[in-house]
Amino acid sequence: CTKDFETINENPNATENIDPQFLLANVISVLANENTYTQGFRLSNYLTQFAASVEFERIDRYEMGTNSEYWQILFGLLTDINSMQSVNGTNEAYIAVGDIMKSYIFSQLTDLWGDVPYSEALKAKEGITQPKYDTQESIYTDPNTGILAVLHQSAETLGSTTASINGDVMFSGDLEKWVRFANALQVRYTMRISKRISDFSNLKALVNSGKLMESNGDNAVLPYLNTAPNQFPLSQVGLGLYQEHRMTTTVETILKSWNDPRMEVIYRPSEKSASSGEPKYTGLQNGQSRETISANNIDLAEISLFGSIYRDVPNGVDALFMLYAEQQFALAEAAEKGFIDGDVEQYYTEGIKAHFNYLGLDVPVDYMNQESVALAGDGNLEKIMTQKWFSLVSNGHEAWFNIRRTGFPVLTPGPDNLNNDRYPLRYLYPESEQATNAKNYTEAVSRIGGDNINTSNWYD
Amino acid sequence: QSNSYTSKIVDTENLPMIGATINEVGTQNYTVTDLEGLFTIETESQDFQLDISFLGYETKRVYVTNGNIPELIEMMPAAGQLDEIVVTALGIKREKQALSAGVSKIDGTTLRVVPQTNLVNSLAGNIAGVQITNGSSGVGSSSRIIIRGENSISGRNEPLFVVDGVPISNQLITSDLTNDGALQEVDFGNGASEFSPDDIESISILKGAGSAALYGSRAANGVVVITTKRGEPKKGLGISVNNTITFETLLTLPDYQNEYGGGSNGEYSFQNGTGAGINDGGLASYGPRLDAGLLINQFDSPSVDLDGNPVRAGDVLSRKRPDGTYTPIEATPWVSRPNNVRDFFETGLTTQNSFAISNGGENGSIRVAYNNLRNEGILPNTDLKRDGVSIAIDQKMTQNFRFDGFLNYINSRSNNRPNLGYGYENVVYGFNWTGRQTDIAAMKDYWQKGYEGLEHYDINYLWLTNPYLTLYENTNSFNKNRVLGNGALTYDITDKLSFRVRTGVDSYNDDRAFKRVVSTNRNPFGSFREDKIAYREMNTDALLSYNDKISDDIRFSVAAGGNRFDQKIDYAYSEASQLSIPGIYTLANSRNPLKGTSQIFTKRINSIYGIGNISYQSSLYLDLTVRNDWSSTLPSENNSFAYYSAGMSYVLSNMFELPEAISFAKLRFNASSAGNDTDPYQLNNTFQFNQNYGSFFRVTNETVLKNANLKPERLNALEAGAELWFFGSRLQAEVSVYQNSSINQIIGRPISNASGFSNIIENGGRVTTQGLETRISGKIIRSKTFNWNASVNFSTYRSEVTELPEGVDQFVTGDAKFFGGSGGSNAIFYIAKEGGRVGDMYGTGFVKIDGKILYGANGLPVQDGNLRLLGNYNPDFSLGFGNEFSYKNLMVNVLVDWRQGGVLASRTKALGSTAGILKETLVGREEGIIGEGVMNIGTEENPNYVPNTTSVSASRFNNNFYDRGNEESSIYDASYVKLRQVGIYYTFSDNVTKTIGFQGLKLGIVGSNLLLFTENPHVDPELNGIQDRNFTYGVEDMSYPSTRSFGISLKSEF
Repeated sequence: CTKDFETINENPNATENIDPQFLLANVISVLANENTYTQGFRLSNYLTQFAASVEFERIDRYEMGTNSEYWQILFGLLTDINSMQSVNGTNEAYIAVGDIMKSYIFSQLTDLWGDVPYSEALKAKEGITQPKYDTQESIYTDPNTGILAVLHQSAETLGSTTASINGDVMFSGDLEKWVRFANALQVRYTMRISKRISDFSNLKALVNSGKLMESNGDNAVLPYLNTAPNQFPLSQVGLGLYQEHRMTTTVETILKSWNDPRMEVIYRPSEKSASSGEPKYTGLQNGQSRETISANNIDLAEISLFGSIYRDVPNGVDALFMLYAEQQFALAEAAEKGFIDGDVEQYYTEGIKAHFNYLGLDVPVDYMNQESVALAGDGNLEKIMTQKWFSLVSNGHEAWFNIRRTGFPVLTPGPDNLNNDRYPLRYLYPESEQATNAKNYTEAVSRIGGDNINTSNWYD
Repeated sequence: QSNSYTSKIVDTENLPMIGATINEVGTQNYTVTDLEGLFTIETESQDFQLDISFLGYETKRVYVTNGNIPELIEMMPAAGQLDEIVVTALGIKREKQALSAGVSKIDGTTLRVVPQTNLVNSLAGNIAGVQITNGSSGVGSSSRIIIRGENSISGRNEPLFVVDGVPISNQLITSDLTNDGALQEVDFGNGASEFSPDDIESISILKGAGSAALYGSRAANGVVVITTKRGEPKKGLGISVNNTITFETLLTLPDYQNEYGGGSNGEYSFQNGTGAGINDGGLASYGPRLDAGLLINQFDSPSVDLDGNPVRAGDVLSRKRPDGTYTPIEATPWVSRPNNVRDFFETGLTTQNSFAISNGGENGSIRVAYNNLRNEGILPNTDLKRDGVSIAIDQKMTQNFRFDGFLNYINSRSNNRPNLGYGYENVVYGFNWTGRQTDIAAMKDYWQKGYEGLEHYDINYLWLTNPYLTLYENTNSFNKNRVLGNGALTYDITDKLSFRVRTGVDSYNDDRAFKRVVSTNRNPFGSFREDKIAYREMNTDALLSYNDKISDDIRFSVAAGGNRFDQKIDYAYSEASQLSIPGIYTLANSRNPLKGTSQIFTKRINSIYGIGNISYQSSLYLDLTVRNDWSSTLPSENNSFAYYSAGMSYVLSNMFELPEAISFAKLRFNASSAGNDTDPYQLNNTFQFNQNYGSFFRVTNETVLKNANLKPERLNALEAGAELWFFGSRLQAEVSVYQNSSINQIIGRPISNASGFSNIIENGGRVTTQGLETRISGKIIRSKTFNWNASVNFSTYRSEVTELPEGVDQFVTGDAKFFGGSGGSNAIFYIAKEGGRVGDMYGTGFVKIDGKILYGANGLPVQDGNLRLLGNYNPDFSLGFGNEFSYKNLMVNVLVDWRQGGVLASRTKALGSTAGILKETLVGREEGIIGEGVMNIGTEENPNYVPNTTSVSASRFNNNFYDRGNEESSIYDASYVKLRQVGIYYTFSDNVTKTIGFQGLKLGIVGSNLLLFTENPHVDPELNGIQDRNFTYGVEDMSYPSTRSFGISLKSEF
């Protein structure tokens, strides 16, 4: 009498097998949106002082929290990549692209939290429900399994494979672009750990390979779309959430010192100045409580908000992974520090030009000759890093990682910060790790020197 | 002319009874017996009836015709009530004294003393070991019932509901709104709530797994056995009509401050509600002092539009000049409005009517009933309507062949059920952020002038949404049509052998619609969504039973049978997440590709079972049962599981001479072992559909790791009990002790996300629950005119995790959201450590030095992210105290409910303190607050802790101390005492009723939830929240005020 039980208990609502392309489309598009909106726009823009809060956003006052949803989403996407790499129909191209995305995700995890599960991660099916944490150093540098090694190997594979992929919402299956992206990520992560390594031969090889990003056409981005659910979320949210993100005095000071028209694309004139016919861009100091804003008699109608591309159209911006501009700034820094041969100024200029062009602007005549912009030996690094900073607006937490590592641009914590005037260096581990993975959590916490936001990273 | 009649009253031993009361029925004609047991009564009639009563004895009615009064009248001890029949598993009727496991019976009349709108609520406080919690959205809310604590840590602890031997659904199928992101939870009620108490003859609560073992896996948490009313054999039609009208008013409301209005730093001025004024885009209530003679621009202050016509300041679109400035506002008095929220609520009105007609004779009976409920909720524009028709038939078709059937059609519907939880769709959440000066009633006209249907009118356009708009325009409606019924054919093959087949069905369709108007904060473009749920459950069983005796002393019965259970749930929704044309609610009016899903869940269980009973001298009873289930939800190698129970009941008083005061004594023991299966599709992982990116189809993994090696759960239960009656039935005491061990529980255990999944379905852990229940009831005062019956029930239990799953050092059984922000969410985790209690809640809190809160140099408390034990949500004990007083024709029933212990994390407290609307936030408004605790004047390495002396403004202090991510600051003791219900009934005497052609007439004044005593001044600790389709325990989530209800009930019979 139990003959048909297996049929009854067969789930008619979903499938146990799927073509890898549907997982690939999911991983890229979900991750790009998380990186750009939830992480970049909603969180990191405060830490990096592209945005200042007026009411609610605790992160602007360095009450960092755990960022636990992102932790959960990242590991979920890693599971999707595992599936993509193992379902029927996968091939070495899917596997290599999957490894690039995995490397990207694990770098996010270790850059945000420090030591994280890596070698034992994603093994619930094999019975490991409490994975141990690996050191940040080994996650990046393990010669076989580290992020840099995996990216290198993936680029090699994609350079020689005859397999092809579908569902590639970013590069439309152009594997050469994936190779350039994988190599650009190696540049990014090599610079990330550059204080702790001395062998830059791989970086040099990459520069000489001709397989780095070569223009904005190689940007690792995908557009937001006109219809739900792929609209830029800020274009759909309530007014309060939009107005929580104000232009900052940091942006005002720096961009005005550059006479930089990019400010007018990223931000909009204050409501009062716009209606009075004399549009002005005014920033708000970061890290002020509502009481302080009120006590300082700040008229919020005189403060600039984010620009029209973020709010007035659903597809005004891209979901970002990495821009060509960022790679060029990284190479400028590498050349400036002597890690690679090459012309610092050329990389620097190319980076600025690429970002202007990306925003649909030309670099103004004389822009590069301004004292605040032109490289002059002393202070080159600060100039490179500050230009790089602005090219990373809303691009995940990348600008924050650079500030942590180099100290540029120099940011002043806001007056009402809740971290004793210290600049935060990481997120707290999710509470769920204390609950579900207590032993390994405790071990990692004691190894990194405490689960608090001021614990520094190995590479900083 | 009056005649006198004489007779003698004796007991069963033929001894005279002295002082028995004799009353001529329907008159005030009384007398008592003398020392010989003799009485004489005088009456004009020759045909009359006498009621003879004596303490501890059954009241006896004597019918006298033509003046022929019997010489001797024998009274039976009230212990004769021992023959009380209780309906047990599979609809089998047993004498109560034969039962070996805990069963409580409650009569329909008791249920109806104070008519409840949710059947489950009428069980509250009445029965030891039964715990009821209400939902917070008023009439029509779900109520949760737990019997003998939580055996399962998965949260599935609800008992099985059974009508006439056939299970019905009490499932809570909520719409999956939270994943949608734009909508908040709505409570559409639990299945059993719809059953009309007027159709109920009695309810038996089978508490232990022992008494439930025959019902299969769903009965592991106990069974609520409902026996429907049947037609009664009587001459002529029996017609009964019950009418109740009750009013609901607020029982609780947050304790608001009324001294400071909205704003920050003591400043506020409205300009456009988005920040152009002074703090008019802010949400805090730390603004200017109220009632100090200030005139301030407010959202409802007078202004003019561009043409100079009068408008309200909040009509900002018509006030905005092309240059971005606004027309002037005429400031209005800044005064407190202590009742602004209270007055927002309306008086709820509920009417319940039932009409039943019945007839019966030798060969059968029929009862047809109609009942309805009409409710208008305390929230404007919320309601519930219910109509039910039922028919019960018993028919003897031949001498040996009979049919019993029950059929019930119920339609429930509502134009709007309120949203729950955290977010502005819950108006109580909005009130939390609404300055205390706000004239909420001024928001009734909720569109901006000139922008009707397009832009709403509000106090704050950044974050809030006009509460009237929310309730009148953003509606959540449903229409549910349900048919449940059963039919049984019984064939008595011989007088000892009989065969029965029975089938029952519970089937409903529930159509829900969610409308969202344009211009609201969460849905600027509006939205429309439809949910369709089709539920069907069918049970068919057959039973062959044989009764016989070996001698007069030894009787036995055996029975064997089988059952098939089929369940199918279809759930589908489709949604237009943005509308093209405002105000048109159809899926065709979608700006975007439609969202939606449809899912089917099916399940089957086949069972066989057998029962054996043997009794000796009506004193010693032995019961054995065995059942085996095969469930479709488990892997084929593990899908068969058995249940066993063995029980003994020993009535000492029938075997031994006991002291005279003890009229009845019984001991009982029961041991049982029950199995349990799981939900459909828990064995293999599948990919889930994610919405497209452009034309790219997307799928993703489930977050739960399924398990192809699941085994059935097992619940082992031991129970012992005693019953003692004294002085006839005057004082009755019952006590039960039990231990339940739950092994191999199937749970979705939260695991480290880093493992790739957030939960894993597995067998694991052992939870042991030990508990004690007692009930003492007595007829405290019995006299001719005044009687007082009272009963106390007490129960306590403790559930512990006695074994963890392999390789797990602490067992996370679940979590409840407490705060979700852009920087990550805070949750309360339910963590069972070995030896820890089930229900232990862990969350974050303050850094403490020797138990004192540490404050930083900024004067604010220091928090860390470490999880710590906040308390346990289970009560230490609960106690119900019921009283019934009667004086002549007047009856008063009073029920008090006391729950002691347990904690509650209150979001109302956390948010209300941050916002500055609660009374306690008045502390330190002018002079600042110095937090009680210590500060470090040494270094980090060499700390030197001294009492904190740093003063901080109240607003900053409260904002940090009651940080919404800091669960520790908002914990309350959940103990309470409630005056649960009062019913006062007057029964009109026969003289009166007959004159107006009635057979019986009772008029009552009834009330529920009349008084509440608890530590938390803001919310009712009894209400439970719903998050993500489940009840949350120990967390109050912006609940609506709870209500008291009172009204009039009329019960008439013709």
